Amino acid sequence: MDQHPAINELTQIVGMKNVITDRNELRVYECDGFSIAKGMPLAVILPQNTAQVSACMKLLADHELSVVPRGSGTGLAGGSVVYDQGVIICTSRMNQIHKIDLENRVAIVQAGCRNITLTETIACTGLRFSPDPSSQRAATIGGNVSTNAGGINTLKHGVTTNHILGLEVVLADGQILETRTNQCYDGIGPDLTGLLCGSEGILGIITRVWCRLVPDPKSFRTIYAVFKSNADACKTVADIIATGMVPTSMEMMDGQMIQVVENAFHFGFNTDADGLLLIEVDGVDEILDDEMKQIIDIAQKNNAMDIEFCADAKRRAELWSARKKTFGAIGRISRSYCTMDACVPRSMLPDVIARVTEIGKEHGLQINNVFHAGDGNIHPILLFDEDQPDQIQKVMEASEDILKYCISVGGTITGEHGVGVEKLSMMHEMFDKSTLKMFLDLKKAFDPKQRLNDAKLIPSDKLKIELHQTNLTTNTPGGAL
Amino acid sequence: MTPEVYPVINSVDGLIQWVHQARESKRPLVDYGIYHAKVGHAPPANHTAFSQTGDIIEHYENDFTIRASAGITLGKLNESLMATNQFLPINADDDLTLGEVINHNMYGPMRCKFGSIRDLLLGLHYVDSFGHDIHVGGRTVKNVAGLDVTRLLVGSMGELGIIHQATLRTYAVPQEVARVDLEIKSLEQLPEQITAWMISPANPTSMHLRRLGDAWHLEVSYFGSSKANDVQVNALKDSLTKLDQIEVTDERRETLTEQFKHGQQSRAWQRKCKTLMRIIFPPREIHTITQKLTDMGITQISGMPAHGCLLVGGQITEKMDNDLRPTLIDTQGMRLWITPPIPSEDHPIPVKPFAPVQSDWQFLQKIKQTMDPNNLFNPGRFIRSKGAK
Repeated sequence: MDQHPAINELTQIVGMKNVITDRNELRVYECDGFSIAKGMPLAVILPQNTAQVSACMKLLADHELSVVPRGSGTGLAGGSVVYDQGVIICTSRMNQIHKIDLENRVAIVQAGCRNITLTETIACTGLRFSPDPSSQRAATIGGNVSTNAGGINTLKHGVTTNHILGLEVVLADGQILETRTNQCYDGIGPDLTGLLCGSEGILGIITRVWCRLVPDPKSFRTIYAVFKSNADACKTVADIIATGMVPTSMEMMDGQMIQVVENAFHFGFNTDADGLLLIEVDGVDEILDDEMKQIIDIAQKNNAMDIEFCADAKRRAELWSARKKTFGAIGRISRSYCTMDACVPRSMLPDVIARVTEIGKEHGLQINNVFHAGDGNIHPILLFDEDQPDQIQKVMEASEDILKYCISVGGTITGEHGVGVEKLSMMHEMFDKSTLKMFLDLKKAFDPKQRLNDAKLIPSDKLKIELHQTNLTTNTPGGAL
Repeated sequence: MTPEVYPVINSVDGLIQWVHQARESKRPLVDYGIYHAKVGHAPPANHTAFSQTGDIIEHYENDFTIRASAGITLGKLNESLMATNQFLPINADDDLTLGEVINHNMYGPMRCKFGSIRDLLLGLHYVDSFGHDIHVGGRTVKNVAGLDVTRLLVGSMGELGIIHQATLRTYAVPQEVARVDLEIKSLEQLPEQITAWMISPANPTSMHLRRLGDAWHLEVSYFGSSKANDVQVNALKDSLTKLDQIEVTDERRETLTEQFKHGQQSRAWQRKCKTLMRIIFPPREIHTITQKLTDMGITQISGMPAHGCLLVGGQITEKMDNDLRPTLIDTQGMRLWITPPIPSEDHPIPVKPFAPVQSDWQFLQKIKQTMDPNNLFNPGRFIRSKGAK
């Protein structure tokens, strides 16, 4: 097959070793963590600096090729999938930390710097970059910003947008835009940085990030509590929130999930339980015991069967390891699973989890739950066999039912994964036509020709997601959604 | 000439009607707020000034979330929240409306722990320039559905849409507030010291720097139980034993209401000033900036040293403004006039409201043209429309 004329020119900009066109190598870039959606890019470009990104964007604009930005590809909504033979610009080789400024409490990093790299680099300073998504070891900071990533400690410390001071972004025409990149904690005028956070690469390619650094807590108390019913566990979460306490994290697993994790890793969890909470408080050591006692009292009032608490780093690491291994455990019991993401008001959690279970029964599906309960950020995991088209259909129908229910109780269709291609069809449920048009108008202000990660985040006629279709069509990512 | 009308709008439908009327009559709608009435370029001569009434729409008490209309005053909002032992942690005067606070991204010393209004805001309802009622964000604490227009509107000075409703996080009223007043001989080491406090048990909830006479005073506050406050205050005092530049001048325990009252009193000078300016700068530059200000004879200064923000008042002249500019450029800082000097015979041209120019301001013009193509909302106040002089 003839090579597209743009490839040679792109090679001149970034060097041969930073352009991938081999079909086998391109397969790695066919999808992100939302593996149902797949699309083969024309090429993958791996620039090393902003100037190269800008030059590539100008060239791609001249050739009228579409562009999809990508970090490490850990996204969970298909946001970095190419669907029309476009080019991927992957920032993973832009991985430098440019500056760590402890007096201003700011780190300036290239977008491809992995979250864990910055975390480890500043570990000895007493400060940290707070966002800690589960993909922290692989995910880039640019990716964290693009998806406004959350994580386990967002309950107390906020999501990515709360920790970004400024951004350098390359627009679709190659123009370099800097928003509040002066290490100030504030700016004058509308907050473009805020708009770019979570914009899923549809407005520009993030190339540098000004990260706010915050104190790294040194003292913790970790509480593990199990309950006979998951309703009691949910009620405990709602009751803790209602006291006004703000723990660092409150994570929950339902009964099926406890069994799956215990069978896989033998942590010693009580498998009679139908709900497990892992709660952590951080802060001033002398007062953490009081906070922990308050939490234990609430758990006991809600019929906790078993409670364990610790201030010990080793046991803490074990307990968190159990939480982090949940997705690995799921892989042992099901060939395929769909991890959903929605967020609801915390007080509604008992109702929502009960309804999720009902929906699973209605569709004949096993749904396991492991989620950021303190944020109200649920992640029902729907198990299925991808070789069974009827199961895929059931999964999609159940997903839709769950999301619609979440919206009906004041929730949202995504708390941290983003819309990507996965939730395009649900955007009409969430927003009215005027709001969606306003999103599109903003997109056009940044990218008038709509070449940059187009048709993601904002529903359009360009990308038709056939929920129940298993055969690939030319303009459908994966088709099997 | 069309007579001036000052509608007080009390419903979304009413607001939409006014927007349609503004489009048809090409007469912009102007809402500059109380405290910020003189911020930015003056409105066009032909305009409709308006205000909104406000109330609490729904308080999701157990979720620590509240939905209120933009016209509600902070005083009314917090009074209602306090009845349920909750509060909105924004240091601003009671008579400011929630809409004004959002339009100007207000924050104060409590930002140390709670962030600015940008961090407390979960969702917004606003009427756009086409008369549509747009809803962005929501009531959940995490939400990444769609573009984050909620945050785009923070600090937009009412130029992109008329905010009429907001959903915010609230916090529990602390058992008590412990306040320690420190006198600081030099601000040279303060940024380093603030970082040291933040990564220790002395990490403050609130920090307020003030120039009183010839001395710098830093009010450090902690919100919590009396036991927690004991621990934190002691940690702060322990840290001072190694420093000869800082000493404790006062220490007290009070309720949050008393702390709020104290805050109002501390801010009272700002409204009396003939001129008032906000300076924003990287926190480590505080010594350079304050040195320059005091060298120029400016002594009415207060601010948030942890976040690089100062309010500077008194008789600041255009000349002083010009003298300050190189320091701001050197330090990557910026300034905006809250109350600019009135043009005089010596300086007949109004001062530039915002300076120096920041890198994203030009692009913001595109955003203005996209969201308000007919220049209906506070036109030219911050973003100068194409062709505007």
